[in-house]
Order: sequence, then structure tokens, then C-alpha cells
Amino acid sequence: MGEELKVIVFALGEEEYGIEVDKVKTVERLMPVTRVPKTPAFVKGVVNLRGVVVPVIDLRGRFGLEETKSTDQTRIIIVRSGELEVGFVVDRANDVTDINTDNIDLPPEVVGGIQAKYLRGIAKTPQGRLLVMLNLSEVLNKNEIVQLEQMEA
Amino acid sequence: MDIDRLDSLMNLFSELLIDRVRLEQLASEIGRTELSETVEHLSRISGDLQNIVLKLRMVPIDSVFNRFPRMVRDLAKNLNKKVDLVIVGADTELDRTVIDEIGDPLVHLLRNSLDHGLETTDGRLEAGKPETGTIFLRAYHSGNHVFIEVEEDGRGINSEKVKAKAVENGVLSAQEAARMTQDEINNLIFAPGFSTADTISDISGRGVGLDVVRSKILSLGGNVSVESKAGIGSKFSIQLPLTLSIITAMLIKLGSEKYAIPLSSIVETGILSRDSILNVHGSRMITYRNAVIPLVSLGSVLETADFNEEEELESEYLVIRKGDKWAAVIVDDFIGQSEIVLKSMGGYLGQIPAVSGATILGDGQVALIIDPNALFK
Repeated sequence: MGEELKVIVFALGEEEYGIEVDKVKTVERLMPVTRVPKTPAFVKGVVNLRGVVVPVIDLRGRFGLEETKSTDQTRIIIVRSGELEVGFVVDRANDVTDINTDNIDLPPEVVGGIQAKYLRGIAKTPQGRLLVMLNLSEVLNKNEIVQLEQMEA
Repeated sequence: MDIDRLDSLMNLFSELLIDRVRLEQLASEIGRTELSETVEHLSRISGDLQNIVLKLRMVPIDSVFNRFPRMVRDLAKNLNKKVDLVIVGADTELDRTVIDEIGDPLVHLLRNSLDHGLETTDGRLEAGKPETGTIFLRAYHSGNHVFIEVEEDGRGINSEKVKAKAVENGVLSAQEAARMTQDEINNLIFAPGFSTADTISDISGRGVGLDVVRSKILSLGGNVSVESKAGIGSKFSIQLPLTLSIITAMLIKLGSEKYAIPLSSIVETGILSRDSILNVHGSRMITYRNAVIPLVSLGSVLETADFNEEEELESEYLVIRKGDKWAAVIVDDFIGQSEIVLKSMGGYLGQIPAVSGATILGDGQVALIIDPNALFK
């Protein structure tokens, strides 16, 4: 018997994704981002979130996908993973839905251009939508970023 | 005084400061006399309140120093050495958050002095020194900083050994080492992985200690350095900000981006004509006072996309100083001095070269704080 998860739904292009609500601190509209030099390209910079400075990354860039132009639908999802707080720039984020962990299938090797290691699985919502569930700790994995920087150097 | 309440008070003051700066900006934009006067009054009051709150957070360093006499006595006994610990300035006050953090580094420096600095009683007699070695532990205020010194009359640093070890450990090349002054070589003992202890005693010789001390002090916004004379002794100097979270900075522009540089590092500012830039062995330099100092292009260091100083006839610059090293840093424009609140950037980004933190400006935008020490090669 699986457990019920409340999930925030967001979109990168045509693909829909889910993050558990308890990992999300807030969803914000696009705000001015201060560039931070000498960081990987997908790190957009930092923002002022009500007095707290939070780093913001472009999820598409993080996965090696082409970044898209922002629209007024673009949102920043502030996630919390352990001690880290990071913002994800996404194309749309306006849904909350419930899924059952029983309905999360293992992902094929590459989904929407994203490697399986970043994914927890593909979830099916009661309405029949397919959501790609992210593996947050992999997405926020810093060791990999260090390697990326060393490669670029 | 309840620590949590003090911290809440301090946080509220940080926020108040941001709004105060913002109000000052708005008042000058709007230009109404009554508004400006009221904001000025508010600024004075909040400044006075801020000073009182800051003083509430200050604690005499004696709370850290008071365990050292016993510690030094015990260690000296273990090492079979005779030591006098002389403490000066125990009533010097520090911000309580700094106090909490400064204990460990000081313990390490004291152990280091006892273990590596001071000679054995036989060694001292042979060197014509009194049998009992002396360690001075001093604390005092100067300007916006607190200074803590650990000084002993021991054997001093063997610069040749340090140089050899540094080259051997790959910390720097033999040619670079040959160009360094003795002081610079001595300060290599803070480099990671460094230890010239012939026998690694269980007290402090493992080569992991001094670089950890340095990182800790740097993370507090401070500095540590060493002066030493072979045969005479060594003095470790720690410099710490009086308070962790608010500093005075010079705000500058690079194209569309704004950055903050701690005022304490800036010696002076000026404008130079690009014709006056000298090219010395491939490095760009300018004459400054009676010397020639290197020119640093901040725009290049920070990879700024929309500012190219080559296109200007004249460039604004500021002179920074680290010990006896000087440098001129080219910026696009000066915005002005401001008190800024240091903000953490969280753990995700890690250490960013040349950036020591962030602050939130009066207009709500985040500005990065430059670490001037990183601009020296």
C-alpha cells in the first residue's frame, strides 16, 4: 500500500514534473536575479527572497537542455533539501495534485532529455497525467557541479 | 541577557537598516524637506539604537582567555618545558558570535607555540635564553577591528625549511619561492597540508592545523598572519571585525552590476588616464606614491559582460592593500559608501572566487561583496 503524496506540478516546455509539497518552501514569480560570476551556466545567480539571499538555477540548463525565454508564466520554485535552499526557474507552476507512491513507475533511461539518475520515477495522477518526479538530492548534487566546473576549466 | 532575544533584536536591526537606507534613497529622490528631515532624524535614532544593541552583544574576551593559563600549564608540563603565559587586554570586548568561534583557533595557536615555537629548557639555555619561555596573549581594539596576538620568544620559523617543504608539497614552484620575501615564506605555514614538524607530536604537528585556523578566521571576516625571526621568536596576529554582520562598504558599478567592497580594505580612490598605464614585463601597472603597483581589472576577474574599460579614456580605480602588497583595481564607477548587512548565500554555491558574501541594497537587489584579498596574486 503506497502513501499519498501532495505534489506541486510544474512544467519545463511540454513535459510536466512533480515535487512533493513538503520539499517546496514557496513558489515565486520571476524576480531580479543578481549574477554570480564563475558558476556553471545553469546557475542564474541569487535573488532576494524577503531578506534572505537564495541561489537560483535554471532546471533546463541543469539537465543540459536548451534554456528557453522567460514569459509571465515563468516561476521560481524555492525548494528545500536538507540544509540547502535553492530556487528552480521553471516555465509554469500552478497546480497541486495528489499522487499515490504505488503509481510511481521507474523511469526509462532518458525522459524528455533528462537522465534517469535525476529522476525518482514517473507518476500517474488520478486524472491520468504523467508527472516526472525529480530526485532532488541528485539534482542538487554539488559533487557533480564541481566536476562540471573542472571540465569547463 | 537572553541570547535568543538579543539575536532577534539584532535581526530586526539588520532589517531596519535596510529600510533606513532605502528611505534615505527615496527621500533624496522625492526631495521634500519635511520628509528628508524626518528621515534624517529617524536615521540618527536608529543609528544610536544600533550602537546600543551592538554593545549589548559585546562580551569581554576574558571569557575565552580564562581557560588558557591552566591549559598552558598542563601542556607545558607534558612537554617538559617552562612557560610563562602573559595575558594583556582580557577586558577587550568582542561580538559574542565571534567569541564563540575564536576559541578553537586560539587553542591551536597556543599549542603550536608551546609545541613548535618554544624550545626545551636545555635548548633555551644553549641559546643563551632564560630557561622559562614567555608567551604573550594580547587583545586590543584599533579602528573597526579587534587584534589578538600570540607572541613567543622561541626558536622562530625556519624559513629555509618552510620554503623547501612548500616546494616539496607543491604549494608553489621553486621559482616562485625564490621571489618571495622572508615574511611571505613564513606565512606559507598557513597553506593546506603543511607541516615541517620532524616528529609529529600528538599535540599539533599533523599539518592540518594552521590552515584550518586560517579558514576559520577568514570565515569570520578576519585575517591571520605571522611575523618571525629565527632564534628570536614568532608573533601570530589575528585581525577580526568588531561585529560580524554590519560593515561599511564602498559600492561600485561594473556596467549594469553593482558590487560592494569592504571600506577597511580601501586605501584611496581616484581616476587615472589610460595613457598612464605602464606595461612591465607583460603586467599592467601604474605609479602610485613612490612605487609602481599592479593594475587589476575587476571587470575581467568577475567576467562582466557590459563594461569594457579599454574603451574609456579615463578609468576610476581604488587602491587596496594587503600587508605590504598594494594593487589598483579598475571599476566602472563609484556609487558611494554605505553600511551593509552581510547576508549568507546559503550552502549550495559553495566558495566563489573573489566573492566573500552578499548584501541586500536599499532597492532590494542583491549585491555581491568582493573579497579584496583574492585580487592579489
